[in-house]
Amino acid sequence: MVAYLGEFEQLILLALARLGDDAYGVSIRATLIERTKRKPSFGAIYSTLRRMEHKGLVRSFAGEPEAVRGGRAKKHVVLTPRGRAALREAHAAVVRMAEGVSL
Amino acid sequence: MNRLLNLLLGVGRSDHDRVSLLGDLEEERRARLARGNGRLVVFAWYTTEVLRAFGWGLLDSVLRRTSHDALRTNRRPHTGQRYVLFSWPDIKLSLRLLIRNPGLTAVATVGITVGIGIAAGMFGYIHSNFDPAIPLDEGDRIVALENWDVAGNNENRHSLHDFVTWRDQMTSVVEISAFRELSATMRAGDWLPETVRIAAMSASGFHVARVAPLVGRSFTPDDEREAAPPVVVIGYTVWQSRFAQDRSVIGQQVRFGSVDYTVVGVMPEGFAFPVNHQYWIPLRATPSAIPRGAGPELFVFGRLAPGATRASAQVELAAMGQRAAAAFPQTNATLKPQVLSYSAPILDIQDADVGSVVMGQLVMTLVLIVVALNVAILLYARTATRRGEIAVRTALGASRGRIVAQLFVEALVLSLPPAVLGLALGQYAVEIGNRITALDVMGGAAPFWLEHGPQPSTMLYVLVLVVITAAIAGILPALHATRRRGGADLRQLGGSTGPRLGRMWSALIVLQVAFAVSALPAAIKMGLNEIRSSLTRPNYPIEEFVGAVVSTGNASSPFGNRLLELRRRLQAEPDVAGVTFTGSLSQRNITGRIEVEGIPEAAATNNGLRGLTTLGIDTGYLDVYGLRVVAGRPFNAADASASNGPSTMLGAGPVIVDRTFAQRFLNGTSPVGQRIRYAAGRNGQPSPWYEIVGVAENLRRNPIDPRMVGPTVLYPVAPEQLAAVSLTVRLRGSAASRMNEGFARKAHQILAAVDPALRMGEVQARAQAESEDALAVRLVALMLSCILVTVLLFSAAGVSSLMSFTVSQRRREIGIRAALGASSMDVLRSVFSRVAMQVGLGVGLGALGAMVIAPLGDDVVLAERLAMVTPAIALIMVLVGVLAAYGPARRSLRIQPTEAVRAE
Repeated sequence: MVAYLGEFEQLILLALARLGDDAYGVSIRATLIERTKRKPSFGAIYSTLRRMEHKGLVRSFAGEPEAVRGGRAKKHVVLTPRGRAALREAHAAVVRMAEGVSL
Repeated sequence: MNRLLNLLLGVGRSDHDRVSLLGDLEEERRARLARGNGRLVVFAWYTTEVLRAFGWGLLDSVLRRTSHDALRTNRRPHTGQRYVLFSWPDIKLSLRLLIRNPGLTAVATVGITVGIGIAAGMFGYIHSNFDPAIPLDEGDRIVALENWDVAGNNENRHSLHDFVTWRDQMTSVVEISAFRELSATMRAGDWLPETVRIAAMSASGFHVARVAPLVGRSFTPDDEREAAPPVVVIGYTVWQSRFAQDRSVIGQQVRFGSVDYTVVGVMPEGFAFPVNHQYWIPLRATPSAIPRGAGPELFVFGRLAPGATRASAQVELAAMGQRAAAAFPQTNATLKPQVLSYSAPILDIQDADVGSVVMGQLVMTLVLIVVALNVAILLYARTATRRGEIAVRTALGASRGRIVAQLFVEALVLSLPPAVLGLALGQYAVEIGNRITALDVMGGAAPFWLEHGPQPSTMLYVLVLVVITAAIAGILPALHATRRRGGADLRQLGGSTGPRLGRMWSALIVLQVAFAVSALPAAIKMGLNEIRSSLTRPNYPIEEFVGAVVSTGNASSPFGNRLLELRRRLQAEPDVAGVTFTGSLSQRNITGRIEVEGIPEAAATNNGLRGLTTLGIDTGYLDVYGLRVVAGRPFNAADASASNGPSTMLGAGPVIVDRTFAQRFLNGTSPVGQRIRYAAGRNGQPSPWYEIVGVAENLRRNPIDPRMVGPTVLYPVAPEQLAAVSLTVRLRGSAASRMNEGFARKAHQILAAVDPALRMGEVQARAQAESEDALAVRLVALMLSCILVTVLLFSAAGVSSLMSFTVSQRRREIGIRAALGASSMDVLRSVFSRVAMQVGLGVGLGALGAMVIAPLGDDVVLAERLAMVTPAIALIMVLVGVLAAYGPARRSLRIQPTEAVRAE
């Protein structure tokens, strides 16, 4: 069964799809700000990522510690096939709903 | 600091997430600093992000609550097992404890509700007034520019020339615009005339707001030319109510005063920029026609350019200010231009105000911490009785952290419901505060950025306060109670007297009583003064009166016969019982003391009394109000015509004083014929002498405390010689019902028939205006009674807990005493002695404190009465102590010697 996605979850999954291997907290937030003009907090992004990881939509792995981050490692996040399928389904649903509707 | 960050960000998160999140925050923080953001701004951003992340973690934690059975929660977590802060059994246990200790729950609920209510109210008020979010696109980048006159220590808005310079030369603030407010009588089609407020605004003002018109267009620079045809943009509300949302409104005519304006656009719903406006006309002001430093008062605003900050804009503007001061020393030498938040000049808020309000906020937060400490003491009392239970849990493998976490959750569950109540209480205070503030804003209507209901920021603040409260009230006693004691605590299960109450507890109770005795009387007196003065009632049937401000619209053009005609026509109405005018918009308080010729001590009696009111009245005033002249004579036409209006207030002439004045200043001598003057006006010179020709009944009375009614001096004015008057109409029967029947419209019609150019403000029943004043009093009374109840409750609860402990702790000793033949009185005496000592010490310290506080104010009446109130409060505190001790004392009498000794 394809997982149901909330709007913010969809946006984050799209950001992951766009960023590929370079997706982590800062880059995900920057992409969301640039493309949606929203300014989500890091806390909200992490909570959503944790939830989606739990659902198997994304998986994460630790990167190398970096000086610019005060010696802390990045948490890289990538889409899983299940996440990609859920995103595809959610997008298709929006397209189907919008068909023939003038906005 | 790092530990705190780790702690906050670790809530509800794995270590991996926490470290990564800290890294992200650090990376973003450095990036912001590299982009040139100020350290303080970045710090504020960082703190907010941490708090938001903490909030999300907390939410996750609650949502993820897991089901464990009671024993499993006590198990030390296995290696690698996630530490669960909020477990369902903990929450269930906390809820059960709330019900099992109703006294503690009630006291803590009241205390935390009041503490959080006050802190949240203050925060919400500051947020909505001092740093409001402007609900426009990038509203936080809209700023105001204003000249501050360092010589006069006030703002100077006659800044047309500076506005033009700023607009043409400034680079860090763009789209610089200005507006001024006008009011005019509006007529269109067959509508009734109505006085409306209009924003005369630069064409670029709409670009600053970034809101496009719904229909038609906004202004172009061409519209600002003096010779351009007059145009107006109207608001959605007007379009809806007056033009039935007709799109063909464009091109129709609206008349303001005697000028016809063509409607060119309609703004969308909710748009009320710059403050609370629904009509906009182009700002037309040609600097060449107006000398520097003169001209209309302008509010100047603009948008920060991309990359600019308020600090960088301030640097640029200050440099421009210095150049202007050098070039135009006559007008600009003492002017310092400032970049302010958009709302600051409109609400007349200066930086100093912000500082004092932030200080107030800190004090309010401290109040909450005191409350939390009190709750901590009470919880400690409960925790101490549960030492046996804690020891069992420890023996079963629960770590200290696990037990502390459980007690923290208990405190959190105890604090959450009162926090919600406190938020509601605070929101109520904010709504009242905003209504009071709005009275001073343009037109008395709320500015467009004011939002209703609790704001997310206030809710977040309350959440943080709850966590702080729970941390103080839960973790402190928990840490104290879980100090390693092993077997001693287990023995408590066998009935041994275990815990002892430390010195801190005793000291806090002493301080509590001392605080109540020293500070409460002054607070009560101040609150009661406010309430008593609010009981001052008009000495005439106010429900029959309506009033409005009438003006010619030009300060140098008096009414002349038009006002007499207005009076004649109004009086001809069957509903109208009388018409009178007063010479100023409101009763005017003169600072400075009154001197009576030949009675030097009269001046000294001014100290500490309520303000003196001076009022310019026409000859019919006393008759319309139904106030008798009890001595001397009323004003006659010759008095009025000899006067040149209020400008002669400092010129010699006849005056009528009221009874209060005669009683307070004239030493019992007959007032008529005596002469009075103001001791020192603003220029330091005494005014000329005025002769008292009559004594009238008081305008107001206070049945509870006549001292709350201030003295009044009435002087004659000829209203037709003025350009603005306050019109008062006495109606036959209730003014409210006449208003419902459309009296206000009728008044406007009559005014328009006399002269369409005359302006009339809102026609308002006088009783309604009075009730608005009562709002502030309600707020003070509410806060006062909340604080009073809280302090008394905490004192009582503290004393009661102390007594309960003393009794349970000395159970064995009391049993032995009883066995050895001590009488009930002996037992009671020994039980009461400690509480008596603490309450006595508190009362003594409090009395000393009251002696220090009392002379601080210069209010002699207050100081006199404090001397009576302090012993009363002391007595109440002793009574509260005795009553709180009564229950435990009775228990001590029931201790059976055999049982007490056997329990060992």
